[in-house]
Amino acid sequence: MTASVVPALRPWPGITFPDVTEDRCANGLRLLALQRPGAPLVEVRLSIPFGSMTPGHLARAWLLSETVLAGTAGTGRIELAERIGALGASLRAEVDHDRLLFSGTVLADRYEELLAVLAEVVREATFPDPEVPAERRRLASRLTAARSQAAIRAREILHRHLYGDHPYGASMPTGAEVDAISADQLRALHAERVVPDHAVLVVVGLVDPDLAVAAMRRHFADWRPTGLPVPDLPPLPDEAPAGASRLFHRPGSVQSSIRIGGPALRRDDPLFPALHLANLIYGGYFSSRLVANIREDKGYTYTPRSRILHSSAGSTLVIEADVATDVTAPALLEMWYELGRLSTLRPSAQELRDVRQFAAGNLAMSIATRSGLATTLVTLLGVGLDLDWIRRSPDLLAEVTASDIYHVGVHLLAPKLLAAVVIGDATKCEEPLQAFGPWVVE
Amino acid sequence: MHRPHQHLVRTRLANGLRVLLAPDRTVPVVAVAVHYDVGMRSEPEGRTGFAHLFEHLMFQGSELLPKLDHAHHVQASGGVFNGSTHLDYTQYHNVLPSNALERALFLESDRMRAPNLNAENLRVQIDVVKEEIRVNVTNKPYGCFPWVTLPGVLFDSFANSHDGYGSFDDLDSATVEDARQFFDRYYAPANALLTLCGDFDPDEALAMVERHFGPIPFRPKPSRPDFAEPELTGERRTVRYDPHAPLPAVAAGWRVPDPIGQWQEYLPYLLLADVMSDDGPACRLHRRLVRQDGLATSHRCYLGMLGDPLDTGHPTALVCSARQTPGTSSGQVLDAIAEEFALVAEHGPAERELRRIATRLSTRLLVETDAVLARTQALASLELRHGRAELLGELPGLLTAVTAGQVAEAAARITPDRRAVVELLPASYREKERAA
Repeated sequence: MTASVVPALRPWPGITFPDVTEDRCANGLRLLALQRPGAPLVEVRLSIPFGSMTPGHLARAWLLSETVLAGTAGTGRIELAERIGALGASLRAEVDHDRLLFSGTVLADRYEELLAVLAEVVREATFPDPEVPAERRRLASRLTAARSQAAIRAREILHRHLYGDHPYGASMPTGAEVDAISADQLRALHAERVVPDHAVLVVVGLVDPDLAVAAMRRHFADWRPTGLPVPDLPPLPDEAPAGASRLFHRPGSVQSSIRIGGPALRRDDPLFPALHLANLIYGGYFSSRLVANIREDKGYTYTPRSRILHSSAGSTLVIEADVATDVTAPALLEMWYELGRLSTLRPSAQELRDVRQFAAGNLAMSIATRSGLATTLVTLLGVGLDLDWIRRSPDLLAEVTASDIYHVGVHLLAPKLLAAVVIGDATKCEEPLQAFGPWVVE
Repeated sequence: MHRPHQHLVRTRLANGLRVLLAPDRTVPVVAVAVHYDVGMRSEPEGRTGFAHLFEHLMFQGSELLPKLDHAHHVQASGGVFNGSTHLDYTQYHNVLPSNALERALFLESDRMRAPNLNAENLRVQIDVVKEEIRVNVTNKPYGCFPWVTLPGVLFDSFANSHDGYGSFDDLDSATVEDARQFFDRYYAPANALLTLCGDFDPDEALAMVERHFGPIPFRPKPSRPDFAEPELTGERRTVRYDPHAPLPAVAAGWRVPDPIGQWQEYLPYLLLADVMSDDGPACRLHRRLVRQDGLATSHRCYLGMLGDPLDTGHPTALVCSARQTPGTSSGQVLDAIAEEFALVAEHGPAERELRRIATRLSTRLLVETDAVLARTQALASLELRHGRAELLGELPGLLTAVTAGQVAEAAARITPDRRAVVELLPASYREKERAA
């Protein structure tokens, strides 16, 4: 960098943390409220552990999240939507392998009414007859549309390759699995799993935190617990699959979607700060080696990137690039080359300083918005951490040395530790890819 | 409920640069945005996609800084940056911890003064833009539907009808000389708006702005062409085949009043779009297309070709689109949509329905402009087009004041004889049609 003409930074403003008011209902539900000034809005998040080893669970969980807001004992679907709309609010449910998450935004003077709607939904959702078959058809059709997208197909194939028989091996259900679900099965799943025992309710915004916790308690204290533990998912495989890489044929594809993945570290691992920075140096931000190489130098791709994905059962490094079909093999070569460089050479002092500052700034900005704060908090709580993790992070990042980066490079980022999949037109890219070893073509 | 009153400070530098400050000291973050008053409508014939390609070139270094340094300096401050090209403007933004404000101002002034436009960078960025088009359009089912096709059916002039992402041939023929001319003409300080939002002291910030942007020489502001076109004289249709889409989709667009010059007539269309299709099951198109008739799995109704009702200049459109269920025809979907607009035209929305929609819309506006970057961009868009960033705070009141009668009048203009239609069909359908 040419430092001389560029104005220096003033002292770091630090990260501002709102006070958290916390309580727990007798039924197990954790309650947290945070005050954040700004727009007169309140964010509501309810996170319920939803992992399961039961076959067919994923499809039932997906359809449940599509239909849980389709009516309660006292309110039909349209009426429910109108009630929420009249509060100026939105409320939605989404599910992944680990949790069912309700997210709502509401005008600050009406938030208790949204809590009342949410409390009614979690206790009295009926999965009414005309709604369930209709949503089942819509979901099946949306799954088909989703699978026609290269990026979604790529994620599905990478997860299957990395995780095998683990529940995470299926990143989304099939249309046939969804078609087979009855409303009774949804009601049974709701009764068994949409329970307060290990759930967390968070309210963030223009509220008095003590009054907010009292309001949450009023609406959720009589939600009936089951007293059952949350099923533990087995840990993810600790090694990427050995042997052949996977090439998935997508006829007529004008790009190849390259994905490389392998095991990573949890956020609370002592080596995580080093891995976090190593990932940034590799491809985790625009000023990374991968972007400089395959985008800004060679023009192979628009959005190369690498990320660490965190889930209850473990964390995963995922590297992505969608490249023109005729440069599939050359792009993969550069992706492996940059991994090899990071696992054999120490990064420069300048690179390390840059990623440290970027990581600290990004943490500060991740909690600078009301919704960002609510989402970050509920995500951290879901894996047994809290805002204290963010508070401690800048110091931990500051202690990372070039040798630490080299260490995680050798043990986690070396090419031999990672696995690759490619989704593209196999008739055009298979032959050049043979340079990297055997490929199984699907 | 409203956001607490936003204090705004305005000034104009001697070189014509407009400056808008919106201080907000609740979080230690600052956003710096530069909006140039030129977009895809202004690119020269034979140079489709040039405004966007040029946006990429603005990240390729300057006389003072080498390529990649802009990103480097922003990110090494803990910040993020990006740019985007729209029909009527192009914007560049940086969001940073507030201790990096002066650095961001320097970086934006540096490339406003003298970007490094050279053949090598141009060649690489043409390739990058092609990959962007492949990933977002060519290789993706329903990629950018209907935005890349609908303008060509709804409008006639080159400015309004061409695909702003550009053809590969046009992109390939772009030259460094084109870039220099485009920069000289449209990237003058007098054709730009600098907006600062977030954690800063206004006086101190103005001094920094003067220090970095003041020395950039004056160049005349280009006049903004009138892009208006005559009314459609009848329905227009086209079919597009998509190699990756599994099921058909359909979109229709209608011209609407001038979003700036006819602001009062335009506002009811904002409510009309949400009466038809907000994100909940209570809206009319969901009830009709999804629940009652089973014709669609999803639908949208929005204002502005890019769904950007407050950013866009004239002319623009109200757009309806739907992903169809198997075995349905586009005609069935279009007929159902036409009937729903006719119902609103005849009876208007119910008072309770309109109140709910206005409340939802106002809340959504608050939600969407809560983050410092989004607020910066909303303020800048309104300042750029209307000269009144204050409209952001006034919009909830303006929306609430729209009557059912005004929404009905708007709906009465959304008729089959005024629509432009794009049918998207899976490519396999073309093979079937040929066989039959």
